Amino acid sequence: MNWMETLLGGLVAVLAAVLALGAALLLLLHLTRAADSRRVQRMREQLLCFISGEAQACRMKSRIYEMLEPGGAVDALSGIRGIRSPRGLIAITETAGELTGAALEKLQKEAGGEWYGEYLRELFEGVDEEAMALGVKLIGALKLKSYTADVVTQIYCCRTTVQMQHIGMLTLCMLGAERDIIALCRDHTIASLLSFRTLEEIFSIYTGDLKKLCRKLITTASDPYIRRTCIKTIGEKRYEDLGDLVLPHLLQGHINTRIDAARALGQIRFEEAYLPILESAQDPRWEMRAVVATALGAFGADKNTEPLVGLLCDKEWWVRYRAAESLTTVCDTERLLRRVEETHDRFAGEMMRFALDQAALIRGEAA
Amino acid sequence: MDVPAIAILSLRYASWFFFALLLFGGVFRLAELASASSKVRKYAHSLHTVDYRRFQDSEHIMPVSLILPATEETEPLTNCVKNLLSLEFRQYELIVVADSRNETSWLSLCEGYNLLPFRQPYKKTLKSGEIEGVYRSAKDVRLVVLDQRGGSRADALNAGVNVSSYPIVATVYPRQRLTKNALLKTVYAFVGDSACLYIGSFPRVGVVDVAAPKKQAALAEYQAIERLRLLYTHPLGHRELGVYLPAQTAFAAFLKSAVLEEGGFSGKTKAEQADLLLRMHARHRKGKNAYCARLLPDAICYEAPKESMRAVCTDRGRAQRAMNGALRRNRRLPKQRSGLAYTRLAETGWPLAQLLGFAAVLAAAILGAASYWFLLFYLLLGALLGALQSAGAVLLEENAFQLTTDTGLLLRRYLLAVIENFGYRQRVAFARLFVRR
Repeated sequence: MNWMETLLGGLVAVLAAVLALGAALLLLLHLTRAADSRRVQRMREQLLCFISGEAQACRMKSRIYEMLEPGGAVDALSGIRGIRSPRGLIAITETAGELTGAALEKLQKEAGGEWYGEYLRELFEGVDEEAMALGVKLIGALKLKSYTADVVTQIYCCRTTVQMQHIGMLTLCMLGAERDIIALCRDHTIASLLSFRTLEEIFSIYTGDLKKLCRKLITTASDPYIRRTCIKTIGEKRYEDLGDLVLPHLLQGHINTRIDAARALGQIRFEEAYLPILESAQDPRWEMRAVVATALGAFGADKNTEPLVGLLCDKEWWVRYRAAESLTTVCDTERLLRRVEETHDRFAGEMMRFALDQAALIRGEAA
Repeated sequence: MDVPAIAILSLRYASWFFFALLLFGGVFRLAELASASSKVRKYAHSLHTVDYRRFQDSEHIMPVSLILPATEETEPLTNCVKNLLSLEFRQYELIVVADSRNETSWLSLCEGYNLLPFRQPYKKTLKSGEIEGVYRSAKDVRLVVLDQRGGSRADALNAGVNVSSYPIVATVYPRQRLTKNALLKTVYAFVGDSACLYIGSFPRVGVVDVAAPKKQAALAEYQAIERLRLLYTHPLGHRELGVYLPAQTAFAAFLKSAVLEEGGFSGKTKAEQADLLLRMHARHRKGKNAYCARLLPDAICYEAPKESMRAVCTDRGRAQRAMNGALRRNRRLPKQRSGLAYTRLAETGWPLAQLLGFAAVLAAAILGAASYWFLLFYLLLGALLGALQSAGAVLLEENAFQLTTDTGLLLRRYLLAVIENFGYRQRVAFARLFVRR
């Protein structure tokens, strides 16, 4: 054999040895699955954790549950190997979501205690943003209010990171930290990275007085997305007495804010907004006309049959669709259909019949 | 020197060249696997951080229109529709586009879901074949069935987009099944990023059950391993594109407004989904718009394995032709997107180089320019480098996405990952190059 063949042979031998080692380890794992010895099982578990991320998380979770049981084999978090790691943070957070009562309190005490707190402080002073986000999430899941200031600091420190803004704001909402949220939202560099739907979702889990938060944020928040989130929340949660704060947004502002305001004011049936909404049925933007169709339906389809029939004949498909949807709540359907026929608009007639059929299908009458 | 001596010397150098190429290719793929490993593990961690499950019952998730183009399907569709109606997602509709002339598939829908003819007006924004009728299910209001006779798969998809009501349209194919959280994981990306236009998936081969994996026939396992290897050793091919072209027929979600802007799916190529995505890339790159189109590495979409080696080869040949068709139609894009050039090189250039290498080393051994040991070691090295990639891909999938580990099944899959490099892989590479049916 020349040097080239020797080199080739050597490479082949190394690769074959690596593959054989892998196979041997898996074989060992498989053969020891029914072994009685606790030591063997522990070694097997550790090896399995090396292969499967999920197995590692499961192992930690089961150890946490052992700790939470009265007289369990583990006394404290310090007795769980590897718990001070990103995987450990995930395991504690997920376990917290499954607990209530005394068990949750014990976990809160352990994770908020000195030993684990030392790790959290180290984490927040470090540079691993992924691990920091996990730490912030743990604070929210366990409602560790003593760490609120740390969460705010992390949001400021990682203001260009969407993930940290998301988790940070989520945690503050879980903690019900009204003052900190309002202060953060006043700062135009914060929350501007989050999408509208993400903000909506974050505020929906706020544990404090959501109405009070909306009242304060709608006038102080620097980010238009946050103001829009407040407007939508007011409509969805039916905070009727906050209609006064929403009305100015219908009369002036960005078109998306006006659209949200029209929808919200319709949802809460805010009488002072009825005329401006009715006028918006002539808006040049079809998105606005579609929302007006829904809002007028909320004010009462019987009362608004004529403007809704007008919108049913709109040139835009979605406006016709929303108007037809609203008109399905009219009491006298036959009279409505005659009125729609009088418009001599084939598309309006088709849309109205479709909406009525669909409503019947949803009610289960079609079968 | 006489001519035979020059030929032998050339063969010897050619053998060394191909040996170096083989080694470089193998090491490069292993490096790609290592890079994918760190990224996928980071991604798996990030799923825990952002907690996408919070959106499961949320009102703030974007609703989705799921479109199943099944006009060419002759088998019953009941299982597929059942799977698609059982997803854990708050608001979605399923639009099945079927041909009533295919009696078996059509009757399976009529009998299974109590279809009622429905006068549903819709906006004909995209060019599609004529829709003969719209049907709604009395059993499940989320199901809409369109009767479309003939036409291409692109026509069926366009018809589905025209009838769809929601801002995201997702395409899925009859041989595929989705995991319960597939829509949630996909749509979450749209919620978090308003510039997101497309989220694709990388379909695994097998049965949808990550919680309790089942034993499959060896051929099915080979296909599953091949798919994992494609995913984890070719991140350069799909990282910036959002699709790996040879595996482009997969569950994917598009922002509807972006689909309408591009004029919908085109029937001029068999890879209609990839073609649309490439057009989107071209438009937004040209307009210098901020946009996002990416591939989810998660195991959310599974497709049934082919039952014979012949079917596997035909399928690979077909996928290769579809890929070439999409690349031809979008030939200007490779200059802007290195992923396309890489895919072409990896899927066409590399198997050709391997074949030429084998021919050169074999000729060298026969003519005495290299020893038979060299030939043997060359073949073994190629197979073992491939085996290492396959085994690595299997272990990475286990580590990142498998919920339970059955050591017996994992050991079997590991061994099959080694064995598939001695025959199966070469036949598939050959099919990619030469099967034209």
